[in-house]
Amino acid sequence: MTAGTLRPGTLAWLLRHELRLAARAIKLSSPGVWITLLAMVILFHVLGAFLALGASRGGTDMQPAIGAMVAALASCFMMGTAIYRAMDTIYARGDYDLLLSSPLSPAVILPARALAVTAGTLLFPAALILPIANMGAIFGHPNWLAAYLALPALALAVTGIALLVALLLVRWVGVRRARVVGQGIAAFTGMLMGLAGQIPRLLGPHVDWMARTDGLRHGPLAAFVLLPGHALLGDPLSLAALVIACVTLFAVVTARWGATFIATATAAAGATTSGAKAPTKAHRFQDRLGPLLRRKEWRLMRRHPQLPLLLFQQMSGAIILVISMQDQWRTDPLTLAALVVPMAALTAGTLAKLALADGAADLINAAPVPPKRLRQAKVEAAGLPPLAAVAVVAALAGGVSLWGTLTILSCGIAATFCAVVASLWVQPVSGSEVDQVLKPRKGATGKVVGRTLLEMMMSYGWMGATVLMLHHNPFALLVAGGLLGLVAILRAPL
Amino acid sequence: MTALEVRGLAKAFSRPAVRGLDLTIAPGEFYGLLGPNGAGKTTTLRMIVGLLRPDAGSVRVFGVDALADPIAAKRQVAWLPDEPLIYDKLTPLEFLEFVAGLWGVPAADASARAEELLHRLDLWDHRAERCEGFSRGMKQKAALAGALIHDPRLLILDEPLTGLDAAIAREVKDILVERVRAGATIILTTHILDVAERLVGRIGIIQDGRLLAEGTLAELRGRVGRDDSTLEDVFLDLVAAPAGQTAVEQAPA
Repeated sequence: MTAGTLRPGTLAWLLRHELRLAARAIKLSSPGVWITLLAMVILFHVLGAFLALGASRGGTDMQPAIGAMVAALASCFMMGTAIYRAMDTIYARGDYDLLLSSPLSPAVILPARALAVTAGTLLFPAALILPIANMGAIFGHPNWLAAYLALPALALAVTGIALLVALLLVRWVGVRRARVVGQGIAAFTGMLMGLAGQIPRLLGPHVDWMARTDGLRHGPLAAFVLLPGHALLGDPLSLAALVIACVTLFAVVTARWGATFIATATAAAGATTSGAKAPTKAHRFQDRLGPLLRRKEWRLMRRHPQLPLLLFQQMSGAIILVISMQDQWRTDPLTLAALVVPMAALTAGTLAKLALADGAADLINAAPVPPKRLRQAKVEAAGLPPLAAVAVVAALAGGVSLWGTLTILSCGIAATFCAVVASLWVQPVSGSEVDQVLKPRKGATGKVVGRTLLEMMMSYGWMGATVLMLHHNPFALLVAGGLLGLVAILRAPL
Repeated sequence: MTALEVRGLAKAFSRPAVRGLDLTIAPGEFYGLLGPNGAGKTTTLRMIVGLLRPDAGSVRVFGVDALADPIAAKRQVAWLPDEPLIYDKLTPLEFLEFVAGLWGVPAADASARAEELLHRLDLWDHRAERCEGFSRGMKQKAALAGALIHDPRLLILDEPLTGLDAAIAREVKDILVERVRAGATIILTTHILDVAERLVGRIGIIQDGRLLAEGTLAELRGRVGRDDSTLEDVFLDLVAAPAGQTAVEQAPA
């Protein structure tokens, strides 16, 4: 059936509407975007070819286990995305009033919205896994094409669970806190994928990984544990069982809890993140402009609903780094202390972005304060808290060596400065509380992603410079010089 | 000295929005700037308050060249657009503290004035609640408190009554009239012509970025030759007139 012939009011019709809205949030008209997409597809197919060839050479005994692991990792990632999108569906979509006041059947609304969540959830894992299936089919495993069915089925099941998680969160922690908690769970679930890769390292080199998993692979639960793996590899019975189980789960959740979900979403639309509060003490007005501006920025940062999520995402990267390099940390604690440098830089970048997304830009622009002074206050508000953390860690590093203190302090200051400058590269966003980073305007997604990657590269680059400097390696100066040069090129409007 | 003197103000975006606009407003005057949608009212006001740089022309606020010394000009002006300029995550008290700080009001004065304004605008009981939970009317009142806390000599209001219920609108109008009586100058744009008719002393009507007519309601009535007509009739007659008959005709201030 073509898009034009879809009957209004049907599930397919509403799903098309949902997908069109989602697609229009991404700008695909630029040739650069298409070239990047094409390059990624080719790259993933090349990687897929290597993996398929590797699998062909290896034994077939481990293939279901590997397939099950791939399914588990993809599900972890999809769960993170699906919870985030489900929470977003509850809070950010204000069109329930329109849909519910229309003669549209409520039984259509949630499945359509849930299917849109599934589509968005599936996108990234599909881009990674389907090229492997394609190349597997070329290199002698045509049954791997079963991934085209197994992955969407898993995404459906994950969406059903994510909707339930979102509902339970609203019920348990309340409408006001559920969003932040949900985003935290989403980030943690997504992070599980990174942590899972570190399990063998955590267990240590002496542990026989194969022996540990032998029980799972051959025990009484093997059929259940390995079912997704067998399904991904194209075993017809396993595939049918997986698809039926996942579709049933999705259907049951949307049918049984659909009305509750929509009621929750409509209730959440009017909810705020702070309730009425009786004043407990007299409010003392601040006289001096500098502290006043910083205090306002800190209040807004602290109350930003996405701050915990952003910080948690950064911390999760650090946690993975700590686990993966634990052998080195044990012998060289100063290298562990150096981790504060990228953390401070990434936090400063996040805070700078939150500060720049000014909810009343016209108000401050109409005030008799030079724009430079306002920008300076935002820089201070973003930079001072991470620098305080750097100072504490640098002081603790003094217990090991003075050189460590000086290195961590100087690199921490430089990295924080670089991150703030990179964030100030963009002008403040005017108008309502639109956060360009969290909700990029149409067409700005590429720039935002590019800038985020640049910040991460610079932040971890500074960690590299710090570690090199701690080991008296002159190459550190080259790295630091390069990073400072990069920032000079950005020429932020400070 | 005039409260506001605008000469040859011009601004173009994809097309000219304001074309050589002249305005002179005396201290203590309540001036209504009217015009159809897209006439250039908001662009004009945004240039006056320093949010937009004009392509040509000059703006003087109480004798201060607002383009050469924007900070000194801004000190005397408050700006209140139709969308309340507040921070949803701040409480009204925190917001007023911030605005007072921006305009350099000493903390003790600001604190007392904030309390007075919040009582006057029925927001005192909500002073510790974040504005995100407020209705549109409450947000607009908080924004109005912000505009008044530094006691501006020139108050510029762009559609301040949009979306307010009758009771809140009446409250806002009363406050504005009080301010004019206390010596402040107010420039107001509105599409509610009854409000303009009852509140303002002098009216300027702009269309296509040009001043179409200016004067008291009586003078404008005389211009269209309908002595007993309402401002709405006068306005519609003026903006409907063919382009050739819309030369600027200013009555003495």
